[in-house]
Amino acid sequence: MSRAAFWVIFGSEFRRLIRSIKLKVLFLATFFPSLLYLFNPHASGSGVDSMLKAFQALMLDLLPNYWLGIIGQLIAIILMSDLLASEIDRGTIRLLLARPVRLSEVVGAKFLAGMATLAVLFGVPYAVIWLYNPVVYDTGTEGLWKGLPNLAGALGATLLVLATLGALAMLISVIITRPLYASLTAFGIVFLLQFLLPQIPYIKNPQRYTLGYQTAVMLKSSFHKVDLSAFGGSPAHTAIFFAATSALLLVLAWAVLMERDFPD
Amino acid sequence: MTAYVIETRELTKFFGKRNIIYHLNLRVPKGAVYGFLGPNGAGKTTTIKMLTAALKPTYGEIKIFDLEMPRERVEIMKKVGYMPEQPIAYEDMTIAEFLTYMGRLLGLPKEEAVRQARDLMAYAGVGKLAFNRIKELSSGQRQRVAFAAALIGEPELLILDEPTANLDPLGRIEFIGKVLELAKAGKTIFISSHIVSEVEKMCNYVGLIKEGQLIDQGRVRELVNVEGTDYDIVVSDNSKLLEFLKDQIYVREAWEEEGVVRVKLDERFSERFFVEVPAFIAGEGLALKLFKSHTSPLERILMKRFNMGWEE
Repeated sequence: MSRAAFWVIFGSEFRRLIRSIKLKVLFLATFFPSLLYLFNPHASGSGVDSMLKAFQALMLDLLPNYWLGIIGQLIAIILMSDLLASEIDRGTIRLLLARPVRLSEVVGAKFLAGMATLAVLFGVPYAVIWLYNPVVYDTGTEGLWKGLPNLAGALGATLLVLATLGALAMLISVIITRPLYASLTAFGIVFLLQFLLPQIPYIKNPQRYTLGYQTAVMLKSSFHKVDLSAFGGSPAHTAIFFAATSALLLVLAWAVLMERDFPD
Repeated sequence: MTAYVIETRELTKFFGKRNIIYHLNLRVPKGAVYGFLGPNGAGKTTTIKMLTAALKPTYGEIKIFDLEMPRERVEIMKKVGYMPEQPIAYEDMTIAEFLTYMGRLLGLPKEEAVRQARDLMAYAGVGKLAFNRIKELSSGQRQRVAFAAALIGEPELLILDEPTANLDPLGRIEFIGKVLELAKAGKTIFISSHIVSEVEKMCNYVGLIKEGQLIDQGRVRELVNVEGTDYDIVVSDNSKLLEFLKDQIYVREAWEEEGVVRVKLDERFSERFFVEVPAFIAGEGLALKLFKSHTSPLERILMKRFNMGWEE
């Protein structure tokens, strides 16, 4: 019964998010660079090698600066803040408490639904570029398959960063239960940290404390056609850090939920 | 195993320094229709929120089906249906989707959840609105949906918080009928309300709460027997009766209102009233059309207990 409730909540939440107008608006923002690319791909040669090099260079530019820049961070935070805050704000959490459903399942299922939605929001624009590139570089299906690890690497790095931001947004949203205020607070924290941390004196290479830098570190594992030697650090360590931080933030969100009252 | 489906011990709730519920010892027997009665702000909804784990007790203990709330909430909620005071629901869902979702959360297979949702929509009188979104419904229709949601999964215990608050008079009558049906089917029902007449029609047990304290509880007929002091009488010639009553020592006040003779008794001599007035009516050859207490037994209990509280 317990596992069934998890998937029931996941399914319901995912459907709600996918059908929402909010998602369509956010999709316009995430799809915008891909749309520009479709109209103006700027092919620099032909063949698989050129294609991979161009894809990696493009992703290295867009991921830290656009998709995981301010716009991407905002999208993740807005989407994930709403998952638990709206339940508490509208009082529907009391309906869930009156069912044989564990709060850990509620947190887990909603997080997973949010991540699945983010995978669609960011995965579709990435996949469009990946699908379009073999046409632009005239590589046929070979280019498609050779480009797949790059696509997976980019999407994986994106989702790991967004998972951390999402989990932070969920934690804040169980404390500040108005979705808008929760979003603004989470974004304020993330923005402030990225502004302050790179300026810490007496620390070697302080600029590494930004999401963009660490995204580039993770991309090192699958992007071999571009020079990423300037980004020091292990992709595995960074990935583990993001995954562990996400898990910790989710556990904290669950613990806060367990302890708090739901008066209205 | 106790005989009580709901049992609380010294249940207390503070919000900050404000004491909302104070040493509440509820006992709801199996199969009872328990009316939780009290004025607005007495603490009924706060108590229900603690029973359904939305609020944590500051101290005290809640046992439902002999299991401890909130520690064993998941086990308890397999057998409980809850209808909140405000009919909350997922606004963007249709009624059918919402009820199916509620059923699925109980662990029902999809087909069974869909079947129960369909049956309960018809039972609650919203069958024709199955594909309307909840945000499009009136407050009364939402209340019916909330009632259907509480019934999904055939729970053994129903906790209903002000269930008729948004219903029209016909809806209320229909609702009372349904509660009586459910009671007959053996369900234990805990209803909070401030409408005495409804509780009187539905409940065989009652708990009276005032300012967060339980003043009294038990079977309605076993509670303090409070004699009425206000009576309504209709005879074939009211003016004759009124004339007679005005001279009697046991009558504090008597007047005619809309064809009914209203009498306020002096409690000290009320026994004479029951002997002399019937004798007068019979002696004068008047036809007796109505002779009843102006207030119901439960109203009298409430008035007496609550007034006593105010005097203290």
